[in-house]
Amino acid sequence: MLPHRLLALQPPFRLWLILAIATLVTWQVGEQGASGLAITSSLFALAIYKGSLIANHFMRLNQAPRLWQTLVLSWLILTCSLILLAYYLGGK
Amino acid sequence: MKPTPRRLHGDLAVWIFILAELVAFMAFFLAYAFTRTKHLELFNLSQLSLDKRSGAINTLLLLSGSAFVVAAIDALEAAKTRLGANYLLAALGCGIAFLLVKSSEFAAKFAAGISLSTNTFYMFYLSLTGFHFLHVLLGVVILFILWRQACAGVYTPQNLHGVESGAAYWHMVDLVWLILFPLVYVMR
Repeated sequence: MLPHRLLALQPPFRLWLILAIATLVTWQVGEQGASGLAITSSLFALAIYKGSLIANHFMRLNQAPRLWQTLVLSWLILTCSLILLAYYLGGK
Repeated sequence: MKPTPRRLHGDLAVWIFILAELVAFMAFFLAYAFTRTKHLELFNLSQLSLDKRSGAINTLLLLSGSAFVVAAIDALEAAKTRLGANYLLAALGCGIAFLLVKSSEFAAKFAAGISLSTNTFYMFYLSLTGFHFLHVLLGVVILFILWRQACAGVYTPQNLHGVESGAAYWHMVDLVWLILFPLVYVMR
């Protein structure tokens, strides 16, 4: 029954469900106090994935001129990568 | 069938403003991340006092607001004006709920005697989340205006420019929080 109900959801709410589950994962990692480069890299990989869903589908950049899509997605990847670099340098 | 030409949804000036905001938040995030490398113990210890659950609830509220805004535009594109206005009202409710949850989080910190001058971590926590709070506040004002306009029947399938511009701003506020939450509340 569940897959049918999910498919019956409108596209923005289907996407919302994915984003909400990813948020719960991030929250649980926080509650467990998990740390380390692998955990932090996974957290920000998840943030990039969530952010790309927002940018491409909610902001509709997948329908926008490629320059705008590239600018926003590059911002997302660059920001998360530099945060990870800082995390790596801090742990050395 | 010819493919639909690619177009920017919303006003170009609003998108330039969004890009400038993204760069400002990026600078703030990197200042936090690189300052943290010099005060690891202080940041990890102070972070323990943050209410991760309210941070997660606020993430869900922003995501819900964004989904409602998209559903509103879809409805307005289909000339379902009343439904579009109702979705915008739901998004507005999510935005107001975010402000209430965040205000109670700030109030708890102030009641515990925490301020900008307590230590470097709290200086970043209060200023970063405070800066974002002001953006949500502006987003709520924008959503209120969009809802009123939608109720007045201003938006039609041929005239969605205004609501698309407001929506893009709201999604930017959401996008930024998706990095802020793991960075400040979770990463250790």
